[in-house]
Amino acid sequence: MNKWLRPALRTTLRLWRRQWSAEATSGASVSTGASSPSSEEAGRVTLNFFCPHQVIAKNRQVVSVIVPAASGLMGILPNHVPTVAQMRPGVVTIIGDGGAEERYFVSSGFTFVHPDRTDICAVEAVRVSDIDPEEVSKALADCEAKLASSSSSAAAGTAEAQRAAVAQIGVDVYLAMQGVVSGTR
Amino acid sequence: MPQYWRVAGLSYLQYANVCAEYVRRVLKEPERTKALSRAGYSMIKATWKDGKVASRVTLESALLDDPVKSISAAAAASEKNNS
Repeated sequence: MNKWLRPALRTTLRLWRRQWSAEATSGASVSTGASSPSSEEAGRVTLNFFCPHQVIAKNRQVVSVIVPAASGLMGILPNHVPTVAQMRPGVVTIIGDGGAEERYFVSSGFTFVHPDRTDICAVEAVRVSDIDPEEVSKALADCEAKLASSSSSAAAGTAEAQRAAVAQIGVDVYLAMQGVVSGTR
Repeated sequence: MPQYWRVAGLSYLQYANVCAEYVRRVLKEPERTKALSRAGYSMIKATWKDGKVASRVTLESALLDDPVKSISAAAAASEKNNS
């Protein structure tokens, strides 16, 4: 690296750090520019977690949440950039004080990260401990058999293609579940 | 790239419901019974003409046992609705 470039870089870094700490103490949100409510300032995520039939969390203050976004696991900490993420079948982990974890399996749904809160909406969300591992392996085998017996060359949109897709969804759901209940996390 | 279920002709709503149904089926008791009891639904769509039922379509939530039947019934119902 050039001799003159290094000090310049150091100065930039120092300025950036000062900026960072100033924002951290004033509690201003870097990503939105909007003033977020006190909960996010205090280093907590305000979590809402809904199903059509049940409210799992409403305005709960948590340390962080991990959601199974379609593009990969997504960790949400306070002042996360606002975003909308589609979820695949997988585990939502809610991390509370002292690292206490609560784990729910969601079938699908969406996560909305707002500047002041995070909303998780799922069609079905069950505690991981409520899943029966034996039933999962049985159902997985059943779906795999159905998928194997349906012809892969079926034209899109036909009855056969839809049957195969429904079997494939089952394989996806149960593979995700099996990884969770077999203790590998 | 579109997802495979969409290529096969399922809508997002159908996909989400199928996923949820698979989850309900492998729960431990008594959660399983509770979940399955609130999952089912059926709907009758009827068109009335001159005080009588002209056509009648029954929609069932049996997506998993016969996905094709319930999906094509839904399509037929919406077609009738549009015409």
